[in-house]
This record gives sequence, structure tokens and C-alpha cells, in this order.
Amino acid sequence: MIAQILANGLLLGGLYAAIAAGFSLVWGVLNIINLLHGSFIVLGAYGAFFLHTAAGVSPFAAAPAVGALMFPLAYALQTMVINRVVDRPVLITLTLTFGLNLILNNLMLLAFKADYRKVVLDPPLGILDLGAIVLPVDRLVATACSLLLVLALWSLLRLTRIGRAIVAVRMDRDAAALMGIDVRATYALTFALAASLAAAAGCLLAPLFPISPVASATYLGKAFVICVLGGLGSVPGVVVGGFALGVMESLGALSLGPEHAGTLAFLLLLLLLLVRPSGLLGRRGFD
Amino acid sequence: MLRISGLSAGYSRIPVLNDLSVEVGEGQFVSIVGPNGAGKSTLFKTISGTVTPMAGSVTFEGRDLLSVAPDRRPHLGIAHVPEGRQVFASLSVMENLQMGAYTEAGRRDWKDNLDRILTWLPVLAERRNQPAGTLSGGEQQMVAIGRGLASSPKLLMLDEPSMGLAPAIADFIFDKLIEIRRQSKLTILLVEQRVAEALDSADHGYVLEAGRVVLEGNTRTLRADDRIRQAYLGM
Amino acid sequence: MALLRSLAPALAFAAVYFAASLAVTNSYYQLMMTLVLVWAVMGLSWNMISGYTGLVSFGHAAFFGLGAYFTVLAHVFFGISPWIAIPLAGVVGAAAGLVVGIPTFRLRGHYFALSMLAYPLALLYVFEWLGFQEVSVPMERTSPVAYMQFQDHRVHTWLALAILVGVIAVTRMVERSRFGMALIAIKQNEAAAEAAGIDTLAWKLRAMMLSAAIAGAIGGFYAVVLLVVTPVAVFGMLASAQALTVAMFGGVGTVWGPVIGALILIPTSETLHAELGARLPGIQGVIYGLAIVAVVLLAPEGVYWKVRDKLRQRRSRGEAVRPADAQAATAAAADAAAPAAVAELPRRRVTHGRTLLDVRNLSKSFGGLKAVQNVSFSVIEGQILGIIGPNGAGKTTLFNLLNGFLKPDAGEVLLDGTDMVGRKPHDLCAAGMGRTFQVMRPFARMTVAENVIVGAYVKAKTEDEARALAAQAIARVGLEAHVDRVAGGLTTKELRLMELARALAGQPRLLLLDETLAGLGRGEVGDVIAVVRRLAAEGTTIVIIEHTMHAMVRLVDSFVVLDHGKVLLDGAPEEVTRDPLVIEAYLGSKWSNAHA
Repeated sequence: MIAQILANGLLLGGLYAAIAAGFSLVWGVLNIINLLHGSFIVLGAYGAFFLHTAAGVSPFAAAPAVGALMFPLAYALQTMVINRVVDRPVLITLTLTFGLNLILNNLMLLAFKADYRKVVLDPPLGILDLGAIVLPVDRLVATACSLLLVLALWSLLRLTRIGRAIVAVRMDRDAAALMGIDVRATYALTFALAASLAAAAGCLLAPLFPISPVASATYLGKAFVICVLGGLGSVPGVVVGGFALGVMESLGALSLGPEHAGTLAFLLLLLLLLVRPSGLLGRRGFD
Repeated sequence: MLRISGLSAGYSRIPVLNDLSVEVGEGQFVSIVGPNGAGKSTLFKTISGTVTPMAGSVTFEGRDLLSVAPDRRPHLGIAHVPEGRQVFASLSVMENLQMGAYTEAGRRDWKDNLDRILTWLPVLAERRNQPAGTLSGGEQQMVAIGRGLASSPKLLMLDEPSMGLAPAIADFIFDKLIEIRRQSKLTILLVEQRVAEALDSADHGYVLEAGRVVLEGNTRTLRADDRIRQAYLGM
Repeated sequence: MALLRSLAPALAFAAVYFAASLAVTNSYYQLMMTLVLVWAVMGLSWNMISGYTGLVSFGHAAFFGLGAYFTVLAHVFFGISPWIAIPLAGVVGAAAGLVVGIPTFRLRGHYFALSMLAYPLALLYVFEWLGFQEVSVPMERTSPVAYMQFQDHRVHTWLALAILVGVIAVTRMVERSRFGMALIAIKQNEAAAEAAGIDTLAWKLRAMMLSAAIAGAIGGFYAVVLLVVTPVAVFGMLASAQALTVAMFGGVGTVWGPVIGALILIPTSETLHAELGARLPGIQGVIYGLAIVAVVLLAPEGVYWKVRDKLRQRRSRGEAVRPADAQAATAAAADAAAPAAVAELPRRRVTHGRTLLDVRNLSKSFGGLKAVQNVSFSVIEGQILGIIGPNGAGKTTLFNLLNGFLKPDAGEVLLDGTDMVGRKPHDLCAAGMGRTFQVMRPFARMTVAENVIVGAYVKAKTEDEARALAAQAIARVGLEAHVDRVAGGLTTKELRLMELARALAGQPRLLLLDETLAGLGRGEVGDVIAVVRRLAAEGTTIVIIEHTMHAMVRLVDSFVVLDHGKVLLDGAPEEVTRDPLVIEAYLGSKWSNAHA
């Protein structure tokens, strides 16, 4: 029983890592809370849904393509709109992404209606029976893909020149500029990368969870909780935070009933905010 | 190599630099000294592009530096080792050096540069895998200098490398600078509030006070001038 | 009387709106006229906290929704009339504001905004979970008026108009009192406000409660007008967004902003929703989103301010002297006149007397860095003490330990024998410790007089007393001629003097000056020194930090020299400047050897 719950939690947590990775990246590098993030995930899920209904493409195969499609859109949004206020106070940027999210989210509502949709895999992938625990294969594949995405991000940051520029900007904008790094271009790249990841993660969610614009706030909340749990801006932190939230939710589903598992993330969010008043980085004071 | 003339700069409405002119010839070691608040850091920030001047010109190898985007300036061969060091705290020493080699020249010469940096600053080799933030102040300063050198600069600018360091460690850093300069023929521009050490290391010196050059000349002559003490201590 | 006069435009607006409402017969338009007012009030509620203090709330729907549900449920379960329930909904809102405010005001930036965003969403889930998916207001056929149910829907419009005028009046009252001054000071510069003796947390809580009370009451009224509540309608993101948008669009920090915003945005979005809502369900959200994005990018302060600034520009064009030129001219004149001003009064050094400030073994570390180690010194009443030391010596840290912005790891700060460690800056200010800032922190949009009055509230009981204290402080620093100028247009010297006056207005016994001479020209330094000396002569004890020793030598009675976080030396200026240890700290070890 406990083993099964843990297994469920870990499967879920692996998925959550991909949900939060981009959010954490943007927060860490641009110092922007991107309230669009949840809508990017949902948009990706719609991408997978339509590719599946129209052309029978598996959502797992669709993930890279949908992610790639997202990249130029997000890059343009960042350079043309968000970059204009990126150095302004936190609340200005937050208000901007709040407004942008209202537009995107409601445009999706307009285009796709609020009805819940779901990608039904045909034939179903079945289950993997390991005796003590039973694992649905679709979840297993989704989680594996998700961790692969996160691994790809991690390698990009560690091993490439672009990745190193992103890491440098995250740590210290001024010092990064002294190294010859174009900070603004790095912002745009980071934002686009994060949006691509979100859209790809959305594809992976499409066969597992109902798709609706309404779900975006929940995903946003989860991404935030994961960042706070795992530590901001670090890729391994996102994986740890994802697993932690996944296990907590699957334990919560047991005690509260499955329909309220999502509420748990919100309660956790509020609790975390209130017990860590200085924020994760311990920054405090009047500046 | 670097020519600054008639420079005025400041923050919002407070002018910090006032019609300032400084010249650094190729291969020279120039020190700019002056009490705190004299405008030394602002001068550096203007050269590296963090501060936009209100008037005056800055040319580097005959080229108008002010028309070059700040993030392109390191690629021209200007390395700025900032005040307070600003190392990438959670990256290892080695990764910090790699970050310095972000410029085209730095990547091209990475192997040679790394060898030289580790020979000059052997402590960096010992600590190569340690996060830079866990090092002592003096070691962090060496990381910052190494990071600057890793970009294959033509001009190395150092902003108060002795700040917050015990005198013995500051002396060690200055000795290293002299050694590096002797072996590499690098052009160095240093700003410092520790007058004695800064002038001892350099060939040519400027004394700044309230954003203006009040004394200039050969460092040996400057050393003997009591006006420096007055500038600092007021009597 | 002044309040009544300031309400005249609001009353005129109400009269016009009332007249217009008489002409409307279509019940749909009547409803829209009511909704415009409802959201204008909601915008004013948002404005009360976010507009004046600058803490943007993305979750005002929490209070709105609680008020709405309270009013409907009170009617359904207890038969309580909205006439009673709506005011009670205000009380519920205020209570919620307190409950939300206490933990949330400890958060800053992102964290504050995100938790505000999370409250209504959490409540939305809770109300769904409780089974209140859709609650209708019961129809009262026997005595509809007793339950705020009218045949003529225009009555709702009139009621809403009355509420709006009431809320405008409250806002105006707040604006004119120390309450409003405190909020604006907090928005412009929280640290400076705290240092001026404003208990920022207490004022923010009061503002939050007032704001939430308004939101709760208007939420209750909204439910009565619409006759039904659903969690999504009252707790949803759109409700929070509407409050924020009407205010931000119209103009932040003014009563007219939310009214203008609601007049433009509500009819637009409602009409679009009615025309296209069936085919295009998200159209309202898109409109609000566009409005927010446009405002953030084009006019972050809102339409009202944008238009007003444009008008002012047009009016001021054609005046011969631009303010910048005038400033340069005065600065030049000041520099020219400097030598005369420098003629300072001879001053007898204060070296004996009663100890006012006693600092004992103060230490503070950041991580591994020992910024301040075991520092002790004392200040005698009426003395001017200078704390000096080279860059990185720990002066600023020491200062922040003294004035409560940092808490020491060990040690005591005794003011008149009472230990002040652990007290907040505003408490210290009330206890008689004033301060200025190295990086000047003026309230840029306020006049000199207003800036200084903020510092007086800590001592003054009434507005008149505060005004008198402020005038007195302004006179002490010699800024009488500039009282009505806006702080944003002052020269560096005038700003420094204004900061001095703001600190003086609270009548401190001890004044902490943080690099008051930085950024000044030579002549200006002389002027400011003369003022500081006069203050000392009048009995104020002064501790001043500087890194340039120059001017300090002429100013202070005694020095404390810091190096590497420790006291290197203390004593009279001549002794200190000749001491080899000090020369070494400033000029380097090799210097003292060579010149010995």
C-alpha cells in the first residue's frame, strides 16, 4: 500500500519537475514571476491534443515539436513586450505578466472553450504489474520523458556556452556583463527556453489529465510550490521539489480524497509563504 | 591605449566626475589613487559601460568606446575586475575562470591562459573545485583577477583589489600584480585607496579628489608629495 | 469645511450621474450603471492599500467574495436583511484584512504578491468544497424594500452612488490626515518612513483593514444586486483583476483613477460580453488583460496622471527659465558665495559631560565576514562625534546596528541608560534617535513641507502641532524659502538639508547622520557644516559617519576610527590624523614606514 502510494507520488513528481523547471529558470534569471507559465503549459497540452486528433501523433512524440513551435513565439513576446520593463520593480513585471496571462488564458477560453478535453491513447498503453505495485505505462512514459527534458535542460546549462551565460546572468547580472555577456539577449533566450519546456511538459500531461484553460492556475501554483520546496533557480532543486510535491499529493489524496489532491498544493503554497517570510534566499530588510 | 578626456559623469543629478582626463599608454601600469568618494569606481564603471557619462570621450586603441555596447567592450580586450570582487559565488573556481573566458579571445587562448593563471596564482589550482563563495577574501580577489586574465585582455582594470583585506594579504596581491605585469607585458589600470602600495606598483599615477585630478605624474615624484596626505587626512 | 470643498467635484459627479440614471429605462443599462459604480468602489478599495502604499494586491476578490457570501448566507440562513448584513460584511472584510495582513505584510515583493493571489483562489476551493456552488438570494415578496429588493432598479444605482460618495469622502479624509501621509511615505520610501518614526506595519494593517472593509461591503451589495453568488464570480481571478485594472487604468493613488477606469472599462467589457459573450466566452478577460498590459507599458501611473502631467507640461511651456537651468544657476551661485559661508563660528569642543549614547561590545557577522567586532564607544550630550574609516571598515553596518535596521549578534546600545537593541527603527525614532540616509531618500513627489511633516508625526499629537514642528525644523536648517518646492526638483545640498529637517522634526536628542557631506561641492560642504554645528550648539547630540576626513576634521569634537570592523583608535581630531595607525589604515602600511 505505502509502496504503491510512494510509486504514484514519484511518478507524479517526475512530471512536476518538467512543469516547474522553466518557471524556476525565469524567476532565477530574469527575476520575474512569470504568471503566464501555467497558460504556456495548457497551450502545449492543446498542441498535443490537436496534433493527436488531427494527425494521430502521440503526445510524447509531439512534445519536442510543440516545444520548438513555442520558442519563437515566446522569444518575440519577451523581446517586444517583457524586455521593456524587465529592469523595473518587481510589481510592475508581475502586473505585466498578470495582464498577459489574462489575455492568453482568455484567448484559449475563446478558442477552445472551457470544456475539459483529454487525449485518449489508442490502443491504451496498459499497466505494468510488478506484484507489490502497479504502474500505468502512460504515466511511466510521461515521467521518463519529463525527466529527460529536465536532464536536457541541465546539460544545456552545464555544458554549452549559452547555458553558461544563462547561469552567469542568474548569479550576478553586473558581473555577467563584465564577462562580455549580452544580458538582454540572455533574458530573451531564457524566457523562450522556459516557455518551450512548459509547452513540452504540457504535451506530456495531455494523455493523463483533463485539458482546460481553467487548469493553468493550478499548474502555476504547483510550479511555485516546487520552486519553494526545492530551492529557486537550480535544476536539481526542481527535481527534488517535484518529487516532494508528488509524494505529498499522493499521500494527501489518500487522506482527503482524490478530488481534493489539487487543493493541497494551494494550502501548501500559502503555508510555505507564511512560514518563510523572508523568502527562500533569506533576503530581508527594506530594500 | 586608453584615452579619457573631459569626462563628466554621475548618478541622477549628483556629478561624481568633473572634466576628468586620464591616459594609459600601451604596456603601462597606471594607478589612480584618492580618498573614498573621489569618483574612482564611477570612472571604472564609465569605462566598462555601467555608467553613461554626461560629457567627454573615452577611446580605446583609437576607437570611440562610448559607442560600443557595454557587453561588447570585454570582447575588445578590456577586463574589469570589479570592486568587491563579485565572483560567481556558487560556481567553482574553475567555472569562474571559464566564465571569464567567455570572450572570443578568451576561448581561443583558454589552454595557455589557464596554465599561466594557475602558475601565477597557484592557490586557484589547489581550490579549483571549491565554490568561489567559500574562499577567503584574498582568495576571492585572486579568482576575480584570474577571471579577468582568462578573457585574454589587452587592458586589465582593477578596482580596489585591497578592499577589506588584511595588509599582508593586500601586499601579496600587489606583488602578484607586479609579477604578472612583468611577465605578461599587460597594460594595467588600477584604482586604489591604499596610496603607498598602489604607487609603488605603478609607473604613473593620478591623484583624484572630488571627481577631479589634483596631482599627476611619475609615481616616484608623487610618492614624495605631501599633498597626498592632505587630500586623505585633511590636515 | 476643507473636506467638504474637496468633495465638491465628487458631489457634482454624483449629481450628473444621478440625472443620467433618471433617463435610463432599459433594465440592462440600469444594471450596468450600477456595476460601474460597484467596480469604481472596488477600485477605490484596491487603491486604498495598493495605490497609496504601493503593495500591489492581486487578490482583492478574497474580501469581495467573503462580503458577498456573508450577505447572501446571512439572508438565507438567518433572514438578516442586507441593510444590516452589508455593513456587517464590511466588518467581516476588515477582520479578514487583519487576518490576511498580519502574516502577509511580513512578505516582500514576489512573495507578498503571490500570497495575495493565492488567498481568493484558496477561498474559491473552500466555498466549492463547502457546497456553495451557487447560492441565490431568496425573494421577499411581503416586504421587498426591507431586503433591498426594488421594483425600480435605479434605486440600486442610487444606493451605489451614495456608497461611492461615502467611500470617496473616506478616502479624502485619509489623504488629508497623517494616515494618508504615512501611506504615501511608505510607498515612496519605506525605510525612510520607518526612520521618520512611522510604524509602517501598523499603518499598512490599518489601510488593509479599511480597504478590505470597503471591498467586503461592496461585495455584499454586489450579491444583492445580482441576486446570486458563485465562487468563480466573486473569488475568481477576474474579480481581483477588475479591481486592480480599473484603478491602475484610471490612475493610482487618486480618488478619480478608479472612477475613470470603471467608467471606461466596465461598459466596454460588459457590452462586449453581452454582444459576443455567448460566442466568445473569454472576451472580458482579454479586454482587462489588454488594458493592464497597455497601462503597464504606456502609462504605469494610469490615465489620470498621464493626462494631468500632459496638461501641466503644456501650461508650463513658455515659461522663460526651465527648472533645470534655474537649479544649475542656484548651485553655481551657492558655490560662488561659498567662501563667505565657510566662515564658521569658533566652537568649543565638548569633551566632558553626561553620556547620552553608550555602545558596548557591539558585534555583527554576515556569514563568515565579521563586519563589526566588539565595538565600544560613548557619546556625550551635545557632542559631535565622527565615525570614520576606510572603505569596507564596517561603518555602514555599525550605523545600521545603531539605528535598528540591523540586529547585532552581541552587545548593547544604551540611549540614556536604556538598551535599544532589538527595537524597530520607528521605535528608536520615538525614543529620540533621528537619522538621515547616505543615499538620500526623499519622498520625491511631496513638497519640502510635506516631507518634513512626515518626520514630525512621531512627536506631534495634532496636525497643527505637526505643522508647527515641521516649520520649526525647516527654519533650523534654513530652508524656509523652499517649503513649497517639490522634493524631486531640489539640489543635492537642499535635499541633504531637507533630510536633516525631516529628522529634526521629530525633535530627536540624538541625530545619526550618514555621509551627510557626500556629493557636495566644496562651498556646499561649508554650508552644511555650519548648519550641523548650529544644531549641536542648540543642544542636539550628533553622530556622523563620513569616509572623507577632510571636512570632518573641522566639524567634530571627537573621532572613532574603524578599520576591519574594529575600533582602531578614538580621540581628538589632531591626535587621530597624526596617528601612524590611522595613516596606515588610510594610506597603506608602506606609507607610514616611508614617511616616518
